[in-house]
Amino acid sequence: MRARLNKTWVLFSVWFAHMSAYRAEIVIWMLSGAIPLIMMAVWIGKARAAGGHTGGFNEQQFAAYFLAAWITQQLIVAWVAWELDYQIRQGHLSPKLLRPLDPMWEFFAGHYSERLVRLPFMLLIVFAGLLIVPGTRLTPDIWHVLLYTLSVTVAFFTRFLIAYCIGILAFWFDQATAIDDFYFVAAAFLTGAFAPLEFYPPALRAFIEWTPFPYLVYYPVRVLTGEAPGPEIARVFGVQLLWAAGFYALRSALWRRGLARYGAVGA
Amino acid sequence: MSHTDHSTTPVIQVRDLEKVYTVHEKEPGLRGSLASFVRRRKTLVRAVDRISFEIDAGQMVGFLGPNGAGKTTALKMLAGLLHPTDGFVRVGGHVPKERRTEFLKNITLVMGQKQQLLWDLPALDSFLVNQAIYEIPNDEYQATMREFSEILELEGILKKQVRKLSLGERMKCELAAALLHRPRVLFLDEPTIGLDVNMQVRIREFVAEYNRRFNATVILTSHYMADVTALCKRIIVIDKGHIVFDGDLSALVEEAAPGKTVRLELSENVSDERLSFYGKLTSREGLFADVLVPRNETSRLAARMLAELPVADVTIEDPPIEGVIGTLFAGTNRQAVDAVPAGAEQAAR
Amino acid sequence: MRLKRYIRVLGIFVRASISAQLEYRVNFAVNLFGSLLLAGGTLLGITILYSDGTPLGGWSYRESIVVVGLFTLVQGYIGAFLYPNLNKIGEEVRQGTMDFNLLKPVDAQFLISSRNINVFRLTDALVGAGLVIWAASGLENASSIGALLGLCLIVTALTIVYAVWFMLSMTAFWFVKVGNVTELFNGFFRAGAFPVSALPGWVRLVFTFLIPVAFVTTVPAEAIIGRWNAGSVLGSGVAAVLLLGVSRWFWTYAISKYTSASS
Repeated sequence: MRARLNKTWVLFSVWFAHMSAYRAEIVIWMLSGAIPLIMMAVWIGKARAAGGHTGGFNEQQFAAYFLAAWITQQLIVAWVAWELDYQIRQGHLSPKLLRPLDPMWEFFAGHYSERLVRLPFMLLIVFAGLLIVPGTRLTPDIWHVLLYTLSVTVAFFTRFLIAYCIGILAFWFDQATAIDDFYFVAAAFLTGAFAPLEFYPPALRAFIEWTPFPYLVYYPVRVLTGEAPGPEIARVFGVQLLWAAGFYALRSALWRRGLARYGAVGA
Repeated sequence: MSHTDHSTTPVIQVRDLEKVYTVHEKEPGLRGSLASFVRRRKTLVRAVDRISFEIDAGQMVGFLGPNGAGKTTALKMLAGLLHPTDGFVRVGGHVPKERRTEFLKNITLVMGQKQQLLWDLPALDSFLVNQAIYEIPNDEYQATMREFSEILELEGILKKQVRKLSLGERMKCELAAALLHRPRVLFLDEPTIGLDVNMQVRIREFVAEYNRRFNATVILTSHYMADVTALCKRIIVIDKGHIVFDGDLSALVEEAAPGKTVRLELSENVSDERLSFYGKLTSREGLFADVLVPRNETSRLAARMLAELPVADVTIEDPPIEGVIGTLFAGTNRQAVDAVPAGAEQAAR
Repeated sequence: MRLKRYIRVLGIFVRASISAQLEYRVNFAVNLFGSLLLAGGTLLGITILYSDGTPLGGWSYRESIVVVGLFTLVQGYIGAFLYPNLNKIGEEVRQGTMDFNLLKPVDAQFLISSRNINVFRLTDALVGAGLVIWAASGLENASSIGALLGLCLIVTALTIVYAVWFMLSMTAFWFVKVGNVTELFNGFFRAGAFPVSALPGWVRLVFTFLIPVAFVTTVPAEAIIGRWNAGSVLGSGVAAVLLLGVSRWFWTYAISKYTSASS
């Protein structure tokens, strides 16, 4: 147990040091994920044109929703599909496979500690956003922030596992990163980063509810902004955990099969 | 070689090990590309074709062979990175591909340029990660680091960013990181590639020292013959996926090059015909001549040359090992399989 | 004569690129699927924005689809021509292989801008062009003169995108560690999927003058739907010439400061 704790601590602190070396690049990645901010502008423009509010949202509510969506999107970012794809094809995975630790945990430590590097800059943007749209209140109280932290952690883990599953596909063919691009396009429109799901056609919304997408952005945002009542929060946690567990199982199964193929693609 | 000793099982056992890849082929040019776009031709490549051998604890064995012979593929299967297509492998009693923790804690694989060190951090940080992952107790870690720093002269480079280290310094750190957990079985794939001669010697000495201290089993592949001759008594030669030789280095030299060179410096001119009487004249420049003679008649013929020719100076040399290996691969390798010495044949069983 | 040589060189690059990429035949299907997904997603977004029945920034649903089409087309242009070339600059500066480009008897900016073409990403451009044609064909005010003017404005738009992208990647000469600066463009260009008038007040100004996204999709779309005004047409031309000039100056400045990697 102590050895495990020590392992965790060393991995996170070393990877935090590593990620800090890339802070300039990280800031650029943050700015490149600007969809929620752009959509905030578009929807506020629409609310103004409609005389102050549209579909039950006024300017401040749009601002709160999209700022929360932006934070969430920032916190669940995962590039492990690209990293895995590269390492599998270049053979860089080999040194990691020689160690008595599943390489996933090292990638995970890298991703997780990167969030800490993001944090200061994220707060800056949110603060600026709150100033630009006066009267915006992001969250009602500290409890919602705590619940949100839990919810967004599960969301991050789910996205990480999805990306991991996609990256593992590089064992079989060399277009794994293209699939992650597909995911990216789909996620841009289905997670709620583009618009609150209230605006979606009912049939489409019913379909989206059966995918993991809304549980990555839309529902965590509702938890943070205080829109979700107690029972909904409980349900959201349940479904989130189910999706995370499902992708965990899928990644384990894929990983076992993938390893048997390692090396067949060059390396 | 102590293959007759049956009281201990060998650390490494390999029987009929095989690895087959599928590769695509394409004709050059745009037309070829279009053709292969529509219909793809596949061929099977046997990178490793049913090889068998055993290695005892503490042995250092050199894998030799031309590029693409299957050395690295074999090594990666032993380390559990590649899953064999067929055959039997045990390393320290474990099936490598299962990658059990006890197995991984007992082995290491060093690959020339592939780094496990984190590029933007000092090497020490990567060492700390390895210490944690391999669960090395603090006192053992300190002791190992002290020893390694001493032999490899790591002083002063451990706290520099890895990206700022020279190739040699980086390789020393790689090696230290790979051996931090004191593995009992070492797979070294081109550990000295790209390094200058001094650094090659230092790494070689380190491996020899490590082998002595921990009775570690070592398999080494290298382009530099000096690495192999300095470290390994036993040689396994692989070509086109097959083992073409397995045995003592000296036996290899004897099998592949059954002659020695008598290098003469003459005091006056002698005709080529007269020199050819003693053996095969391999080079002749004025008063200098090389005569290749059968190994077992070397002393008799050299004595006769000294007595019958106007000799100013004479030296007797083994042909260089590079040349020996070269002739092994140059077409004669199938016969070499038949010529495997008795000891090696036993090892191959 | 000179032009002929450049065209020949370009032809060789194109052939080599196609040849290299046919190796990865799954790519074609994958990219086509990706293009349809991108266009479908953007269309879905527009549909959602119009779901309350009011126009967006004064543009009707169909008119907005012209913008979506142009957005997709430009994405294809970036993916096929800019990304595979300009995003290698950083790596080449770091590895010191940039030297080889500077040694060749062809203009180096031309060389590093045209060596590779990701043929399959042209599927984006095709899907985008298809959307534009389909949407415009149902609009009353669309005319052949508008279409011609739109074509010219697309050319200036692509020039603007090239110049901005080129300058962004040129920063690699100084900031070795920031290999992803062009992602900045990608992030902000998302706003180009909507008519710029959909954005409120000062944001619109930012996306017109600070980051010239408006000239890339909205202005050509205005011409195609027959709603152009002389000011923005002229602005587009001036912006293109100006940015191209600045990028050229920036390039000469960058290579004059370039110290080749010594390791």
